[in-house]
Parts: sequence; structure tokens; C-alpha cells
Amino acid sequence: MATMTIAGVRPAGQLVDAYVLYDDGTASHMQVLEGQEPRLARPGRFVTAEEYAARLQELHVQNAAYVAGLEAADEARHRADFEALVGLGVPEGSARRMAGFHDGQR
Amino acid sequence: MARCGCGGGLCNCSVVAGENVTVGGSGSPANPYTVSANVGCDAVRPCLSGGDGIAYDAGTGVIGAAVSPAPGNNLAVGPDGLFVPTGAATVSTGCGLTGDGSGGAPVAAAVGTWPYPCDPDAAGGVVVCDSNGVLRGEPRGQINFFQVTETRAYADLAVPNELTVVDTFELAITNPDACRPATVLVEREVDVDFVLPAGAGASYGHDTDQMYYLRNTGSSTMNDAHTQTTKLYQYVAALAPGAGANILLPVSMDRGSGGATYNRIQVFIRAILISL
Repeated sequence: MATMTIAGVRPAGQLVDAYVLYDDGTASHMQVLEGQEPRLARPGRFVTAEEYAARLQELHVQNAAYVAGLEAADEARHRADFEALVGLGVPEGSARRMAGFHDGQR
Repeated sequence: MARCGCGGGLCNCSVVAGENVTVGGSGSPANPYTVSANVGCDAVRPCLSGGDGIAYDAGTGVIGAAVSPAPGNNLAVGPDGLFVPTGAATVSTGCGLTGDGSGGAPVAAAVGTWPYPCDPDAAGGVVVCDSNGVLRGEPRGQINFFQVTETRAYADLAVPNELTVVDTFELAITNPDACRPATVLVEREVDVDFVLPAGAGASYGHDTDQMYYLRNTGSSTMNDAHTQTTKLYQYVAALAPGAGANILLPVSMDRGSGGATYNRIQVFIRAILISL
């Protein structure tokens, strides 16, 4: 992650990466100063960057699918609102804005 | 003998010179006996010896002062006799010392004046000699820094409605100062990514202190809504020299509603250890 730098100031130490898979499937990326030991606060194990990246990718895919489902439900609801408003004679542009219906166009 | 009238011929006295003795005169008032002894130096020297502080040469008969050759002895034998120079002649002071060892200027530490309103007996530092005989002052002050940042990714977990510690983070610190306790200042940051369907709300906090709440009042899902919060405080009053401590950061959540979930918590724990 980004680190602020100050011109002319020597960093207190280099950051060292560590990767963890906790027993409940949580993926973790840690950074500590060189020479300091990362500490696990709950059961888990240190893994390679590749193992971490693989698990993180699984979680990202899972999260994307979850959010996509929510957004699909939003879209369906917005469409229903839009169509109801149009059915009541509201002009289409106004109905689209009132319903928040973008027909997949963001 | 005068009563006997030796010099008058009434009686006779016989005086014989022994070894190294001569006898002169006739014993009369006008010419009395004169007894003289003549003893050479060689005969006397064996009778003499030198004690402490005396150098005696039995061969030459010279008697002088015995001056110890031990280092640091300033006694000298000069043409005028024994001489011990004053400190002023042998003492040369450098930085941190003053005086020349004389009666009027004894050697002393060169010190400054105490400019503070507090009592130096209670507040002053100390100067000691180390094992090599070198003067040493108070231990050097130290400022040490520890830090961890951790980002955990979760599988879209529900935000609880009641105050709950959902996860805990940790930073191990050790006071590297072998002399002084350290004051520990801790800065902690938390950032949580919430997914809030329309109408959902969620809150998170540090320990049990709620720091952030957001409710989605719109009609669309808010994906990865997040705000980073921070606190700075003194964690422990004094961490003993060489001692360690674990700084925990429990992240709590509550007020979860409407299907709110979280998928990411990022924390920073920074500790500054000050030993002065």
C-alpha cells in the first residue's frame, strides 16, 4: 500500500510483506518493518504470495458474484418501478430518473 | 697524677700507646701527655648502615637519600637538597577539569551553573565511571517505532446487529532500551468495506467505541462503502526496560441491517516507544 515519503528524511525501516490464510478462510496481507515479527492474532498460517493471491482471487470472484446478484435485483426493481411509472403516464425520461432505471447503462 | 707529682720527679707514671694511638708529652704541667687516636675510614665504615630512605655506599662511604623509583614519586634530589615540587609544576588539566593542584587552585571538575528552577539534588543526572575508568553520563535517550498493517479479505460476512467484536488484530512490541521504561504512544486505524443493499445500514468501531455508521437511503446497492478512522492514545504508562507487550485492536461492528455485509478490514497499528 502507498507510503508517504518526506524529502530528505530516511525511512524508519523497509516494509516487509507477509501473507496469511486464517483457518476460517480469511486471506490476509500484512506489512511490518524489517526486523519485526508479524504476529497472528488468531489461528492461521503464513503462506506464499501465490497461495494468498489464489485465495484472494476466490474471494473476489465470490464477492463479485454476490454484488452482481444485488445489482441485478436493483435493476429488476428499478425496471419495475420505471414500467409502473410509464404505465401511469409519466414521461419516459422522467420515469427513468424517478425510478433510477438506467437499463444497464451507468 | 698531679697529686703524685709525676711531673716533679716524685714518682713516675708510665703511659703506653696502644694500636692506632700515639702518646706525646712527659706528663709534666708544662708538657702534659697528649693521647691521640688515628682511626681510618675503612675501620669505621663496617660499623655504619643505611635505614629506610637512606642510601649508603660502604665502598665509598657516601651517604645520600634513597629516592624511590616507583611511578608517581615526585621527590627529587637537587643541588640544594631534597625537593618535592608542588602540583602546579606537575599537574596540567584538560577539558572538564580546572586548577593546577596548588594550594590556591586545587584540581576540580569544571562544572556549569544549574539554570533550572528544580532542585539538582532531585532532578539532576548522574556521572559515573565505567569499567574502563571513563566518565559516563545518563543513558542516551531512545525513540523506537513499531508498525503493522494488515488487510484481511472476507467472504461477504453479515454485519451483526448487536455490538460484536468481529475480528482482532495485533502488534507485538518490545522496549529495546535496557535502561529506561518507555512511554508507548499507539496510533490505530481501521477501514471496513461494507456492501449495503438499498436500505441497509452498518457500523464499525475500535474496541467498543463505534466510530462510523452508514445507511444506504438510496435505491441501489452501495458496493465497498468505506471510511478510514484513527485514534491516538497512550497504551501503557511505562513499558519496562526490555519488556514486551501485545497491542490488540479489536474491530467491532453493530447496527447491521437490511442485509449489510463486509468483505474487507484494513488496519494500521503504530507504536512509538519513547525512553528519555
